[in-house]
Amino acid sequence: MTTKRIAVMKQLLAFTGIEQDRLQLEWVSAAEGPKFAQAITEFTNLIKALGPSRLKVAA
Amino acid sequence: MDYRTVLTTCAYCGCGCGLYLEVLDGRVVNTIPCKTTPVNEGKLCVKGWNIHEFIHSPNRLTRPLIRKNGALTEASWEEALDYTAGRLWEIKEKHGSDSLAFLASAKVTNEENYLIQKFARAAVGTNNVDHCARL
Amino acid sequence: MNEKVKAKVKELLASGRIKGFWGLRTMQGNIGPFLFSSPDDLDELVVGDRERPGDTRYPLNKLLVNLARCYPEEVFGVLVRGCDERGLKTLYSWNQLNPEKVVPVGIACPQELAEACECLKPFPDEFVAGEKAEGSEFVSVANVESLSLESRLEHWLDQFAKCIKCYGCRDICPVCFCKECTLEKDDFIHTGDLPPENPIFHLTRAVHMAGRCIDCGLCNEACPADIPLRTLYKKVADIIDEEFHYRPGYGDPKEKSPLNILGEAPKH
Repeated sequence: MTTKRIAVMKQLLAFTGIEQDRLQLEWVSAAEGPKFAQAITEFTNLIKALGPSRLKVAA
Repeated sequence: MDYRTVLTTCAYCGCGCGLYLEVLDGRVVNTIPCKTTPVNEGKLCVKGWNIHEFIHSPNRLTRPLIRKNGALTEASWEEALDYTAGRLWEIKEKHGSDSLAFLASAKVTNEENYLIQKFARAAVGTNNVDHCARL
Repeated sequence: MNEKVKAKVKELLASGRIKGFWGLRTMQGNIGPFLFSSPDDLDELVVGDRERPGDTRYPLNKLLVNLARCYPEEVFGVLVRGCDERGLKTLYSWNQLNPEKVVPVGIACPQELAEACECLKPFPDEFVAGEKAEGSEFVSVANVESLSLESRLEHWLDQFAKCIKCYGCRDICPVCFCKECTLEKDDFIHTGDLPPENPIFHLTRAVHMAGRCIDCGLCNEACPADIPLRTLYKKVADIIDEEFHYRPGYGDPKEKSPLNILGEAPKH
């Protein structure tokens, strides 16, 4: 259900002018520490590359 | 089953939006904005949309209440009117007409609103008249 | 058009097939929703074309749902356009109405209205009056999509900033039937904010319209701030169709919304 909702949400964000990469879904179990760290690092790098959200600038 | 839609005017402010109240078995259950009234053309504000809620509210006053020894107690209309008139007279005599003010309501008719301002100006002698719907 | 509908309703009421008929009626010079219960009352029945076709549509489905909750055993007739029929089918699929207790009387919308609404199917499956018009593409959605990402955000923030939070879009919506609404929950929305949190408030409602919105456009008509909500929800419907091949109200009412069942994962 979550994968479905995220898929819809990403497209809706794009339609309303927000980069859809700002929304990511990753499945990580409590036993997968390194995977969690990697996912967060990748996401942080992605967000940094995108720069500040225009939503924040607008507010 | 007795279901009706009743066209009426929103009582919350001076705009006068047209709306239908849905009445089911003697109870007002819902509000629908009227599409053909020129004032609102099928639109309402949040107050108008919920106007049916106050009609059956248990918090509504149904009888006159007078505060006696700090507690509101039910009174007859006779007693309430006598008390109010007496106090208005007393205050006017002691502190002057402008120490009194009259607050009218959107939930009564134009004629009743006319009467209250007439009473304030002609009988009591003050221009302190205001209205709950001065949006 | 009125006469054909009247004849059909008269027949239904006279035969005792239905307890009442949800239609529109001229009352004191205005047009409003009315529950017709006798064949003799039908003189004033109208279909909601006052000055222009379809300019006085009301959420008859929603009124029907509310009444059916109080009188679940009774059978009611209801006036339906293409959009209303989609609404009925969607309400059946979400178990809000029993199809056995509803008798729709359909009318087809003229081309002018179909184009103004950008309606994909401006006629119900069966109708007693009107002629089948051509479906129309979602031009308004394409217009927004032609903008850059930056302009889109600017456009929608400007639109949503006009919101006076009357909840009219929700209150008039035939498929908004939840007893508890996210838009009134402090956990999701800062309920005291006016204008409401931008764009969270409207995006939240848009997400809740996914797999439900039947594109009737009543929200757009009820909005005192003229926010183009219909365009937003049209896009949501497009997304659901693209991801899950589902459009609420167009197919078999037994088919559930992809957001109501687990089903298959989206292809993206």
